[in-house]
Amino acid sequence: MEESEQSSNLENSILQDAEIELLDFEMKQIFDNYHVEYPSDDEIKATIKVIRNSIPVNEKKTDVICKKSFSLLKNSLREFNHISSVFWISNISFFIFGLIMIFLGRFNPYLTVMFLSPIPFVLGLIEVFKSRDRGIAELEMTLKHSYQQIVLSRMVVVGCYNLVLNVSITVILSLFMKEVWIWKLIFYWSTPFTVVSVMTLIIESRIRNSYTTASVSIGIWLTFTSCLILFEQTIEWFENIDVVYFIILNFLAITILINLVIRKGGHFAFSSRTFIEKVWR
Amino acid sequence: MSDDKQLIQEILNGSEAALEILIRKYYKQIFAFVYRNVNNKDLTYDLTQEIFIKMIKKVKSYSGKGPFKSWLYTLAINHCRDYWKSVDYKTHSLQIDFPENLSNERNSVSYIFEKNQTREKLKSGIQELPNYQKEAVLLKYYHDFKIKDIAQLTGVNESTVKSRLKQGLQKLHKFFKRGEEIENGRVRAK
Repeated sequence: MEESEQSSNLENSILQDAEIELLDFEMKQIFDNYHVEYPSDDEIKATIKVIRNSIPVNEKKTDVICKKSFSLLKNSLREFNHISSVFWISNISFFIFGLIMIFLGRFNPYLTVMFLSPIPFVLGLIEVFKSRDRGIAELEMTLKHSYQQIVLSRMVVVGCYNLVLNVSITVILSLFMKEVWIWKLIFYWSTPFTVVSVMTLIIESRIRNSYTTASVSIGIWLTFTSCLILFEQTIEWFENIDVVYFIILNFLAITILINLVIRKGGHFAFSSRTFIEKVWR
Repeated sequence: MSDDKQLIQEILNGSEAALEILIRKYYKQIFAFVYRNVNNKDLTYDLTQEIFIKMIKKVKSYSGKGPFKSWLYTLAINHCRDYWKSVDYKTHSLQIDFPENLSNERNSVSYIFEKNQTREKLKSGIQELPNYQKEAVLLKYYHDFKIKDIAQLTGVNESTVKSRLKQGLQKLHKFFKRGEEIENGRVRAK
């Protein structure tokens, strides 16, 4: 009651002075002259027909997630064939070389695995963004799959390949080197893998050239690992770091990494559609 | 549950019939609002269609707290604002589309009414208003929204709406006065 009275007072306040009251009265008469010529019924029907195509399909959330995951998997398998053989061969060579160094050169297995673990993802970014760097991203955007889908699918391929290599080296070392502590090994590769991937994606978003990004990231990583390996004290300090810190760092890096991959996947969006709509259509 | 909310629920369940009912219920109101904003029938037809597509895409986000009509008008207002900011509008406003409109509308039945000087003057007067004043005037005088509702729809406070309405009316009145003076001057000259 009070609210409606207040509202009515407000309505009336526009008519407070005589001039405005007259204006309101005069203009109301004139406003009546502005008729609108509406579209025909056929035209309205045509509009309804167009809009009908946009009607939401009532699907269960789990169905939608399954469908989108399947679509992402399918796109990733397709992109698997489009990734250069140089990428596959060079990375597997690094890991084989690492294994040789551990077994024959008596290198520290933890530090070797740690050093190698982020390299495939860093180099893989060249593959992920190669079409943009070659100036054919616009061409890819005209294809059946959007550029965001392609970027995300390639990231999945590169990330999975990196994981497969890291897991393989862990399995091989745990099988043939009984003294290796498997959990320690996992933390030693998972932490740099996630942290360096995050760092690389951040650099990439600033530099926007994958070759330069890969060079800068590898440079930073080499410097860090060299500093660590070259001095006895730093190795000792590193090996004494509590495992909790590795877990926290991993958790933080994974969270940021997922967020960055999602943003990268939708980075080339020109509209306000959601990431899910853009990437997993 | 109001009729609109029930229709929305049915639309969300995939009912095409409910969609048609809802569109038919609001089509003319939205069309009229857009038409008086952009003053071009073909363009209004396209923009209205886009507003309803937007509505159907965003309908899940309608919380059901306020009336659906207000929610839909907010979409329409924002869509018109987007249009005014768009390249399309900037190019279109540079072109003189008067002859095209004239030829289109000469063929229509309403051409006789188009000749009505008051209406033409009113159309031009409204088009001369800044967009924010135009919105307030149209919502108040053609769509029966209260000042409080207009404030909510346009995202400003009530005193701003009142001031926009006052200024809009004053400008329109001046515009009409000026027109009358010119007319009178012509008559005297004859």
